[in-house]
Amino acid sequence: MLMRAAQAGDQRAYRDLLQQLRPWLLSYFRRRLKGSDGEDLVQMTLLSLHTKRDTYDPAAPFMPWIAAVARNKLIDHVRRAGRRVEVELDEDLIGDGGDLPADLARRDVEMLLKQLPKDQARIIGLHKLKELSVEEVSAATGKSSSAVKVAVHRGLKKLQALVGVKTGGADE
Amino acid sequence: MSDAPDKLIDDLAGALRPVRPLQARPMWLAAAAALAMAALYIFFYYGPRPEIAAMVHGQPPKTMMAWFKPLLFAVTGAGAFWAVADLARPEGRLRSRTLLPLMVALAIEVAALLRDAFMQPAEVMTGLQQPAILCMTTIVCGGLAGLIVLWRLWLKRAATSYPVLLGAMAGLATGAFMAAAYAVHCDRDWSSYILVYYAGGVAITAGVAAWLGKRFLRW
Repeated sequence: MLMRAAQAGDQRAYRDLLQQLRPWLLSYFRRRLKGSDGEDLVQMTLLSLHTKRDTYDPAAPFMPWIAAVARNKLIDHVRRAGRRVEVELDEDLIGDGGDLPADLARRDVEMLLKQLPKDQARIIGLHKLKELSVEEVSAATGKSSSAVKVAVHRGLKKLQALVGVKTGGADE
Repeated sequence: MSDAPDKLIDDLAGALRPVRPLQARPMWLAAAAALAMAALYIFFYYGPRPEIAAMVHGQPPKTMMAWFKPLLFAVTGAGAFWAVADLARPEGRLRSRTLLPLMVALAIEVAALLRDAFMQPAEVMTGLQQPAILCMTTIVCGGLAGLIVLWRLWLKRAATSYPVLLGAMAGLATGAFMAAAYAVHCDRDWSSYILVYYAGGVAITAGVAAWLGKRFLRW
């Protein structure tokens, strides 16, 4: 929502977005670069976000977009510094979103769930967003516990595929 | 929190201007228009192959290659344009659905070559011995001209995680569309000719574009 407003030129929304993103980016880089404060990379990522903001698709989740921008800056930084570092590519968008602003994460998840079959999206919504246990989801949906577990497992795999995780790093 | 990031955020917010989100539709429209213009150019300046000329006068083609060859490369180009649309965004990647048209086109051509190699090997050699300078120069030059247009309209706005791949796909797209247009004129339908000279021209275009992508699509 904030990014869409920023694309339309809303300076207040844009400032809010950048301020909300900053701690998440800092945490993102510090987790991956031990011994670095990550502040330079945060600033480079914010600059890239600014110059390439037109490449964000307003109909798509925001999290994969900003994560890809951050990942690119990290890879550039590592390449320039000649360091070897593990770049995590499997950010768990459903579970621990780190310090990702809650409204951004929630909107992303809602947009992604719309791309799943209705039943599967409902089960994942109940289990992962409303934090009901498998048994509670089973009672609410009338499906067996094992069917709920299978639906969640397959649904999460589909969501991972939709946001492009486990695809390897950037090329050259 | 230090002052520098806060100042940066203030500066960026202060400099914010509305932007038009990158959309694939203008690229598709431009690609379709470019394919039509290239085909018309080939038709009027090179002249159509006899079967196409007959089709224009309402007669059925004597060989399906008259329409199948342009279609084969048009499908290849469309698949590559689809990949370009995906790869242009930071989170974009090569998807199997975009590779499918490319794989199908390649599989058809390789299968045709294998069939000819076993059933009529002399035809394979005949195809390879045909003059191909016009074919390859037209495809490479036309493909690179299309690449320049694509770069100005689309690639310069891209922010890809895969600059080499995006460049290669862009070259493949424009080269394949040019090959589709050239096929309006060319009646050399040997599978070996198509695989070596047509696909060779497209591959050269894709290679040049991949190199350009490596150099200039970083951001």
